[in-house]
Amino acid sequence: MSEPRDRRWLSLQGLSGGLAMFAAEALIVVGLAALAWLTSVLILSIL
Amino acid sequence: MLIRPVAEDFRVIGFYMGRIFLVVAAASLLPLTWAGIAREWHPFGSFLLMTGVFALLGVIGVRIAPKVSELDWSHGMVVVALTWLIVPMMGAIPLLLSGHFGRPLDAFFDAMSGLTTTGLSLLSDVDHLASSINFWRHFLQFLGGQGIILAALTIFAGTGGITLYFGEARDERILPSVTSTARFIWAVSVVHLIFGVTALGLVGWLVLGFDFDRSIFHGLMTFFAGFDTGGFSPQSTSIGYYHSAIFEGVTALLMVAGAMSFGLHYALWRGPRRSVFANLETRTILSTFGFTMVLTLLGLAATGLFVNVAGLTRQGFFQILSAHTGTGFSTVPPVELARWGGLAFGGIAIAMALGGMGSSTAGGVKSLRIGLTVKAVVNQIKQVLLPEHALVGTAYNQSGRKHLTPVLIQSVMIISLLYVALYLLGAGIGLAYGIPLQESLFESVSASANVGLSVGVTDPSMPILLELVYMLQMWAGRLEFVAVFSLLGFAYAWVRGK
Repeated sequence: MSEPRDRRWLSLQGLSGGLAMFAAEALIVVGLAALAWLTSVLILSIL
Repeated sequence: MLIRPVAEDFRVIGFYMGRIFLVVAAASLLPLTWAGIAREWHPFGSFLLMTGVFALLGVIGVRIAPKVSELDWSHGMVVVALTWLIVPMMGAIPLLLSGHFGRPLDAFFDAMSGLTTTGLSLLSDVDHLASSINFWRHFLQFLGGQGIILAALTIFAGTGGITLYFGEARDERILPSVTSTARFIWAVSVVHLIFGVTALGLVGWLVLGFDFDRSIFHGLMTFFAGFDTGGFSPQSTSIGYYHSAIFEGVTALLMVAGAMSFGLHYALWRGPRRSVFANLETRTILSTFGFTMVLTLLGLAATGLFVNVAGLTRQGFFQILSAHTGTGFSTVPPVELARWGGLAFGGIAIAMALGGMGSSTAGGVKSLRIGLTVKAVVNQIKQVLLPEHALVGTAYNQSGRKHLTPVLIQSVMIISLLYVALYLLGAGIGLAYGIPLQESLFESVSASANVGLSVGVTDPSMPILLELVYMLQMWAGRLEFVAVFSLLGFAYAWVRGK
């Protein structure tokens, strides 16, 4: 990988990737929270 | 035969440390400016003193220029270990002069806890701390989470950079050069700073009814401590102070982002995004998170403290996420956490011990090591069960296809065992002081894995020896041992070498 190619993430187009990264992380947290919710439902219905 | 270090070795070490101190002196101008704007003149004086000390150390270091400025592996490790001792020592000056600490060692403890992104604190009356001092505590976590050496590498490149980079417990070079990797890490942080502070500020302003300045202040402090998995808070009741599920949700996002390796951030930024879930480390952390979450929720439900789904999910999810990411934010006070007991307590302690991903701001054994250990054990079992000449696959996916070699397994096992030994060290000392096993072990793991959750053992009245041991655990745990052992070896060679 050459050095100029490394810097592509710094371009305007590259920075939109930053927003996509943040959105993907938000989705991961929502997924984990949904998993916790389902687990709680299951546990409370069993106990 | 051990070779005694000569004057030139000390010059090289001093020169590189000097350059780092100059960068820290420049960073210290931020809290100094904050104190000036907030008209907090007493803290302003203490920040001026600290900045002067860092600048002086920096100038002295740089002026003793070595004949050869190349930094070899052992010099680099010594530079990292010493820098991570001296920066919190000098960084404790404003904390000590704030009058919120009983003894100088307590201020050093808090600065070490801040820089190593642990979050345990001996500060009394945090709710009435000057805003600039609070800013400095949280900014220390930001500097430590990003890596003070990494900060310096962003500014000065050159020979030895890679040694310093690896010495600070980073094992992943995302881009070809260390400088471009360092700059990418800063770019990821700036994106989270902008979105994180904006989201938290809006929640504070619109939902919690804070005035604008206060909402930005709380947003910024929570960002520093959340994204860098530090766990300090401007309020004594941590995130529980806000009583807001939305605030906890945004904080959860920052904690998850902080515990992710910067290699994964790069994959999410540049793509292909699906490759993230093919990584051994991602699969491992999702598995261990699921396992410890089930333990914690089961334990909490069994205590009868939470009888509805919303309450159980909110408390259990936030605490386990805080523990596994190594952040240490809490929505329950230490006394209540100590009462959780049984499975919930165990689930949180295991999550803390395992930690986040490698090359992130989180501490603990780290998911990649857990994943590789499991893979090595499974391979060993396969080898026994399969015919003698059968070949067992050693490939695994971690930002590309890699192979599990005996050398890699050995290195993973050694570091993992050292973490276990570190956890037991603090627990043993705690037991010797009469602290129950469960609480001793919990607090020791919390310090060693740089988490910061507490069941009340860390207290201004704690024994000095235990305080020193926790500081050692925070320091060694953050640097993942290699730099610490190099420093000990260097010191031994200086005394006993020929």
